[in-house]
Amino acid sequence: MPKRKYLTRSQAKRARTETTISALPPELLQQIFGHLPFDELLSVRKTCHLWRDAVGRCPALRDKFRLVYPHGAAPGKFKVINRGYKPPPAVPASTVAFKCDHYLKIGYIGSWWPQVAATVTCLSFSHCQIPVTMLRHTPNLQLLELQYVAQIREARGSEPDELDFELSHLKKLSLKHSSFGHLSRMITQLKVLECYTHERSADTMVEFVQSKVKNTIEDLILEAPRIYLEEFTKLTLHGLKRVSMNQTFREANFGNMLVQFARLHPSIEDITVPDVFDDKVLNKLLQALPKLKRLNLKLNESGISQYAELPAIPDVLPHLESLRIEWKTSDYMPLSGPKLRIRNVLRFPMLRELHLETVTLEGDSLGNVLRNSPHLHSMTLHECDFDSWHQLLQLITQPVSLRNLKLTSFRVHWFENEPFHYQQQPLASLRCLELGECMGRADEHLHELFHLFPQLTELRFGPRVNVDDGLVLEMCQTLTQLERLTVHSARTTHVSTDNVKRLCRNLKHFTLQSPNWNLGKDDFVYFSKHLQSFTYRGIEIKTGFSDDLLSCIVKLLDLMVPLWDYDSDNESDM
Amino acid sequence: MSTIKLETSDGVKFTVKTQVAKCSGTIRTMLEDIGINPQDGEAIPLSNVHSTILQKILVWAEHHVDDPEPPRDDADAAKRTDDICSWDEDFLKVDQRTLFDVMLAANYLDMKQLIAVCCKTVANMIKGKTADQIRKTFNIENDFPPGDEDKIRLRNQFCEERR
Repeated sequence: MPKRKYLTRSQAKRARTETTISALPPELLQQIFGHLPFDELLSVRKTCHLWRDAVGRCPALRDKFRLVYPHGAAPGKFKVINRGYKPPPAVPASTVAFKCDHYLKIGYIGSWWPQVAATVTCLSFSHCQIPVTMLRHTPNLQLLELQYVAQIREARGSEPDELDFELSHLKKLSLKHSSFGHLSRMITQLKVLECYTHERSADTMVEFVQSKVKNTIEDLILEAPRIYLEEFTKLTLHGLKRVSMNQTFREANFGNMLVQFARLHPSIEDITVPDVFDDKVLNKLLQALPKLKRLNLKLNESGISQYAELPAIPDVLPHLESLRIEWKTSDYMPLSGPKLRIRNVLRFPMLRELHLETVTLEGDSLGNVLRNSPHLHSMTLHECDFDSWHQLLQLITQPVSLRNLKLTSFRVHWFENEPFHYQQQPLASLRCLELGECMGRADEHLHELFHLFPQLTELRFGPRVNVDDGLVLEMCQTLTQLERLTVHSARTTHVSTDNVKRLCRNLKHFTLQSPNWNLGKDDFVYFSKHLQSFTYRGIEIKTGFSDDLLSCIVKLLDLMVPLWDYDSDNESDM
Repeated sequence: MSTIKLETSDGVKFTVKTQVAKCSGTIRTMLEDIGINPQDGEAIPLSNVHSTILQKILVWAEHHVDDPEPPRDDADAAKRTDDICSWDEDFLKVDQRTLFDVMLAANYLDMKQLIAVCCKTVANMIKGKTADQIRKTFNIENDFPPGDEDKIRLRNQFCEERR
């Protein structure tokens, strides 16, 4: 016993005198590095052998890197990757992409590819011709993406090779304007299949699904789904959980095909459908899907003028957790959208997320839904129209456990003269509020929101909200818990800066994108010292910045401030 | 309240509340699974931990003994390093040698929360530094032969952030 004690003591003593970061085992180093972003990891790799290997041997860290071939040459130089192209030994990465501005032909790359490919789990090709045999070297492949890709059997000039290997770990296959080619014989199971094509037939696809992966497919992502849908209605995919359809051709029969497809797949929990405006179709579709948890209606912008009303959401969805109504709009264009009709009192007892875009809300119909959804966690109302300000306030104070609220580009048609009386206690659950452009005179009323949600810890003012001294003062006085503040557009004097410093005691993160929020050099020093992060117009100002560097940044940014901003500063100084 | 005794590598004995000692997964396993009986009065030997470090770790455990279990698989929380509570921040304002000793001991004692907060602290020390500055900060020797850095720089060119 004494002998053992003596040894451990000496070991301990040695440890006391020598412990440095090098004493940490790789798993602790890897946990530390896991907190670092991509570019910091590259610096870490350059530090020493031990650290470089710690990064290279950890799959989670390899996941942060993506290698892109070819690289480092003038655009267009490497139209062919062959024996002459040999990149230096690579950073071990899980993701590799081959892409080129022009069409890329991949030839024999056996001299370096196997070494890189061994750890690869995600591989993508874009605008390439590829020899299928190069996939022999990626036994761990989980995701394969082909976009405008032509397959050849093997590279010219290489030894003839049997296609006797399997991609047994492959989970997701994405084919965009590319055909199956030889792949179908290597794939043994597949969970996610993404197809994007304008071809007229889906025969090979359906044959492949039928014979190889019928029982493993969980997730289908179909662009131009009409082509596939007709074929897919012949299949029953037992495990299908998620379906996204992103684009359609206007065709009367599409709705019926969709319903037929849904009836064959009652296991679906998550569906994204385009352009369903018909009440009957939507009703039939949803009735066929008793397990539905997420419903996403993706509507085409031409429907905005075409339809005055959205299809009524039927009350048949006891498990619904997320409801999204989105519009595919090409340009920014605030519009009065179709009216959302809500028949009956809908009950979504499990609803957690609600996202409505370009919708006119009438009366208190949505309020009823919200009262019956006690678990609602996040709500986004984007480009929505409200009859009156009190209607809006009434609505957003209904959900009792709401944590995140986004109100972007909203329009209010009428502002009451009398103040809004909230019947219950101020809402304590809301933590994060994002405000976007508001039409009408809503700017003047924004501060009333702060009084409704005094527990906010995060506040974001979007690009088109005019933040002025008055609003900042209200914010500082009311939102005492505020930890994160983001301001995109402001016109304030130093009074606001002082108020933030003086009153926002809990502020930890401040992101300021506006050049017209008045800041002096001292303010930069103050914020960078007292906050955990301070980002000014895209630059993170750190405590370590020297005075010279700070002056330099301030001067540079000042050069970009419009002259009229100086005028307003001078006024405020007087 | 029940207590147990712990003996450190330098032979110092600590009497600790059982509940506090159970912040350590290693000790918890010893007590619950292996069935070491603390009532015997015999101290549990912690042969990899020095008394000065155990003292510090016990201060931490005492403060965090009532913390709720952290949520699992919270990818977002795992990435963030700006959520260290101010008590922990002050607690870890120590010289590097102590910090790494605490980490090694926490690793040996299997204290996941303490390890996590230490890792975040070290990550914050790395952030925003070049390889050279990192080596200076942690007193690491550059063991790459001269010229190798250029090679690494060249390799890094092929590398971009995965989106």
